[in-house]
Amino acid sequence: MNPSVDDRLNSVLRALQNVVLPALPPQASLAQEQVMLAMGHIQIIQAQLDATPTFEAEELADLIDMSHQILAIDSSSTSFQTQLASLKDAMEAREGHVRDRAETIRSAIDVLLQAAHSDTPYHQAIRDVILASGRARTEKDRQWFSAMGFDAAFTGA
Amino acid sequence: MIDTEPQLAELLEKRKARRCEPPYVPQEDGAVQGLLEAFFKTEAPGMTVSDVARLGGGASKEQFIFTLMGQDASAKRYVLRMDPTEAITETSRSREFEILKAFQGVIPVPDPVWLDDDGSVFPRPAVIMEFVDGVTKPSNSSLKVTGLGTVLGDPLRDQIRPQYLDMLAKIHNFDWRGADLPSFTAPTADPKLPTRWLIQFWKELLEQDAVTQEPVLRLASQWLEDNVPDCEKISVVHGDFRTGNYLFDEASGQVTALLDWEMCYLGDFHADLGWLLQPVFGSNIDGLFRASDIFEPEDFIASYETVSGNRVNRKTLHYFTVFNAWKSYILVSALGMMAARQAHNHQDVLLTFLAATGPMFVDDLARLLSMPESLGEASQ
Repeated sequence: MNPSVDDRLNSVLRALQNVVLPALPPQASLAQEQVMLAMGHIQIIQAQLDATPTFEAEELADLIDMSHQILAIDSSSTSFQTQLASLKDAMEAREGHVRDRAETIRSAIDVLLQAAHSDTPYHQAIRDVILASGRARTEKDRQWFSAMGFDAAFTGA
Repeated sequence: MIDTEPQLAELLEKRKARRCEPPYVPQEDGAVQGLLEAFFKTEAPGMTVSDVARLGGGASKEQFIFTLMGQDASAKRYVLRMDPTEAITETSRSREFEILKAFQGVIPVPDPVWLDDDGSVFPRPAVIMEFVDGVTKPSNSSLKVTGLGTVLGDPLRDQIRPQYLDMLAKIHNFDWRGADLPSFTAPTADPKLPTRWLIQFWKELLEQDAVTQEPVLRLASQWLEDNVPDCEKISVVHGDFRTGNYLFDEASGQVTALLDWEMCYLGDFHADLGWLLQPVFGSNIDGLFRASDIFEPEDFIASYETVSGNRVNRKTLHYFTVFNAWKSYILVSALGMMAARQAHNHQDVLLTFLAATGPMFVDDLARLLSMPESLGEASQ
């Protein structure tokens, strides 16, 4: 039987907790802090592991949905057709890792936002789409990272 | 060169050159002992260095405490603060040294004693200051990274409250024109220059270090550039004023030192107000938000106006609320993440942990930019 990812990570955690941490001298504050942070990271990664592919796929789907909404805005009187075509290409790409595809879409939106900055009505329309989509997306991201303990909306402290 | 405060523009240029440097290796206590001995051999001959130990906490500098003993056997404790190759902030040890000197006797601050501005003795620029006793959080509080979400509780809240307001008022009303601050340039050419310089500095950091092209961040950058307010009064701005960044005596609640001046500059005091009012720097207990675990927001604003005599312009405060969410994202999700990716810091594992706050700031920005105060024509 192959050792599972959980088994391997649990063994790393036990080594850090039971062997490495107690072996550190009391004055090694940075080392102690970093071992504890490393353990925290591993525990959260462990909790997220199975859901990560779905989370990343949903992130890409949300970006594609936002891009559809941007492309649906009337751009006939604008001079951003090149940037819009790049966004369409990025959105329709099917190759590469989902994280890379998502970043390609973000970059295409960034280029469009810079080009459209001087066109107030069109920029305003894109902005409305991004802010609405952005809030829906960050709700999921905040939930995803809530175990880190920073977000009072999720931790209540 | 970027159109920002000249000393900061130079700093931005120098950091580009460091990007290609090899991974940063944290200093060992023994190596630091040797560095300190080499430094004091010329700076204070006859003094003996001992008891070198790393200080925990903080997310930007390598910090060590040590004892310096004179020939008459008098011993004193000091703190060495040294830059890693890259960090969650990009700041100058000269500016930190000068501003701490300027505030001696004004409010409680550590006394900076020695400076190695260009890293001629230490591997990187460093400042040495007197050690100050105190804690940043009650001893019974749970582990909080870099003091975020520290709960003071009672009676510390009431004990620290007047001191907190007094320190902030004295910073913002400080006569910087009469101070010796050669590493600072006052942005006096026009009323928008202080904030325009500020935005250009942080925008350049974002451009250099962005690890993702977040659309809401681009919108925020554009909004901040389009809506720069007039600065009615150029003040010293601390840049990181909040609970977690001052030391206090736990028994009496007396503040012993205000720390972390590295992001200090001359500009609009509203920036400090927007910073300390951020949700991430407060507590949220039973649905009640307290900035720095001391003030409900409106209580803070009214109290600050009374103690400082400075009028809070709500429109300007909104601008700096947006600015501070943007700045916070740049710190944790751009500078911190890039430093970790480049292996240019002594605590990459902390930086990637802190980066999990990024979505909170994106969410804040999306919410703030959707508010009526942010809509319409570019203001002022």
